[in-house]
Amino acid sequence: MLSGAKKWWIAAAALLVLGLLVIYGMIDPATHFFPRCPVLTITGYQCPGCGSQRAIHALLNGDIAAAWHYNAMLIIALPLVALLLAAELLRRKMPKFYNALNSRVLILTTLVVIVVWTVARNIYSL
Amino acid sequence: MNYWIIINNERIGPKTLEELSALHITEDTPVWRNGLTNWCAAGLLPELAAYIGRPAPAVAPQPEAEPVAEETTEEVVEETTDEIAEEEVVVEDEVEEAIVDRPADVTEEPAVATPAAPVIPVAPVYVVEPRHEEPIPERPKSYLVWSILSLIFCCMIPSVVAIIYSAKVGSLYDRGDYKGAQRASETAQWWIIISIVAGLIWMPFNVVLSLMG
Repeated sequence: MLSGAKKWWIAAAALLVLGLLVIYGMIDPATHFFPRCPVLTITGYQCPGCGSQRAIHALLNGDIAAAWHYNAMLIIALPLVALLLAAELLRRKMPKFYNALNSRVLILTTLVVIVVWTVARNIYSL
Repeated sequence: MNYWIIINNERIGPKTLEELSALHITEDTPVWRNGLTNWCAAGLLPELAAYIGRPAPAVAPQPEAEPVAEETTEEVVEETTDEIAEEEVVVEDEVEEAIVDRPADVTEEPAVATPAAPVIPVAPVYVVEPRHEEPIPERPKSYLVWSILSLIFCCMIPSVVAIIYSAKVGSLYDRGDYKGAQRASETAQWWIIISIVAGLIWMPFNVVLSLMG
């Protein structure tokens, strides 16, 4: 069973995420002020996460094509992130599931995909 | 499935069923495996029926070997049984090395003391020194999901470093370097925190830059 403190943390995090989803759903980061990526501002190059805010806004408004355009990797990563979060919560009950998802191969693959994506998006302006 | 048995007051294991067949097991030999809460006699486990030989002749009845062994195994039982299966593989290597070393020591001494004594062919007795066993720790968290999330939303190079350390956790743990795995886990955690803090520090600059146009 989850301890009391952990339950509250999860509840607080869920509430925060819910609040952010409402904000990102209602306001378009492309037209309103939203924090910009430091890497993009300083170097002029897009980081792997650039466009995530606009992509989430587009997703929440059902525009998958636009979301894909803003940050394609995010769309691919979301199911993985959902699985990883589930594994994180169920670590005690299903350690094998957690260990399989957090295996060396999968983590290194993720790393390679991120690096390739970062290079590719800056060369081909994806 | 791995088994531990007690022969001549020595705890032996982990052993697979095949390896057990090489040992001399009687109906009364204490056995423990995953799923058992305590040691039980080999005769009570149906899967061992094929490996039980006739009771050893002319051997003094074995004193109960519970107290010492019980403590260490109780600790093992407390851990989630699923994980144990993987961890045992690592321990097995160490134990087998120990086994290889022992017989030489054991046979030398009696040979000097009683040279004329008839040599009785004895099945190799595998002696494992009762070493102080630390319970195998749980696999530390690798924090992969948090590395990815901080990479996407905090947009920081530290997250990439965190992912590299996430990858190290599993490989170090599988190699049996539990302390190293724990350190890698903590390092990954720190890089994620650095990434988040850097993202937060960036916020005010962001406001200033956007106000300046």
